[in-house]
Amino acid sequence: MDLKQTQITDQNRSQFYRNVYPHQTESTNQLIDIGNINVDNIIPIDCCGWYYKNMFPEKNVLPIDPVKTALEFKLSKDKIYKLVDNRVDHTLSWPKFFVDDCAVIFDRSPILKYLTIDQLITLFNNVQQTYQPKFLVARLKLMFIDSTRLTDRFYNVSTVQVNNTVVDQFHYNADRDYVYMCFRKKHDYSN
Amino acid sequence: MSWRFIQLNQELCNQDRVILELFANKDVNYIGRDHEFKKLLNHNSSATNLILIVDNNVWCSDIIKMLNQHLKHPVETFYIGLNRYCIKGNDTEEKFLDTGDHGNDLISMIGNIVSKLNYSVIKSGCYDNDFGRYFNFVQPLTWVYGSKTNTNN
Repeated sequence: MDLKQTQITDQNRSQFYRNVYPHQTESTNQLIDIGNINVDNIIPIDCCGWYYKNMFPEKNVLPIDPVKTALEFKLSKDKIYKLVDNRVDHTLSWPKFFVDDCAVIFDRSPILKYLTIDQLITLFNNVQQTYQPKFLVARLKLMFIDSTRLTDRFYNVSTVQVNNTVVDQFHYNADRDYVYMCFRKKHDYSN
Repeated sequence: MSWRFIQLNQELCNQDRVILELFANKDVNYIGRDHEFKKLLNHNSSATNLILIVDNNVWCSDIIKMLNQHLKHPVETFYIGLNRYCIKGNDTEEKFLDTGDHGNDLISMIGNIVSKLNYSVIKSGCYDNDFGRYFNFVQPLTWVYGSKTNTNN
């Protein structure tokens, strides 16, 4: 049987966008509290960064969105700071730019869906190396992490490590179907 | 507008087609949350054909409980469709096959559970590739079709 991917059309585009990115209907206390992250610049990746920008005007929010998302949902340019190229499956080309004193956040980002723990680790490390954020925060729905289901999954999820960081926070809640991880960049005293 | 309609409009997804091929025009006892699809079936809560769809978050113990609850008289044949991403983990002392071939490991698990209830797996399949970036009606799906074990053999 041939597999068929769901198509986004003019008729379903706006509803589809709201379903895939529910952030845009949430209150600030349902979003990641970027107001409490001690940096000036926030880089939300594939999680309605424009909405974070509206909801946290005190922060300098620089949304990165996937090319496919921007095209499929016809996002206007003012909603995006940079694009990550995801047109080739399993290959992400991160935009290069320098921003000091920043944090990267992934909030239920579809770009992370169906990734294995190993793939997540690779992706987080690429982002950490590219933007050198002080904090890398990821809130994920457990159901979208690809891993075995027939064991206690915590031990699999807890193996996530990001180079040159320490684990600042780690919340795992199987019943509520989420994991929240915050990695803090190590201090470098060599310079 | 429902999520099904947003994604599929009037078309059928893979799971719909599998079910309709297996139970064409037969009475079925449909247990699931998709009331739009249910309307396409001859639903009858006392039918001998069972369709059980598991697409909400469950532990392995919940699956065992559901199968114990539903796989019994008068059920003769059954279809179980699972979104394996919905399984939270194994909270039982049971040791299930865990080879890394996730869809087939799940089919093996279901096979073990139903055999204890005197049912056998006849057909199964999984659409488990990282095909779509959306969680949708197309993927992922693991399905098992079987019948009551013939105790005369």
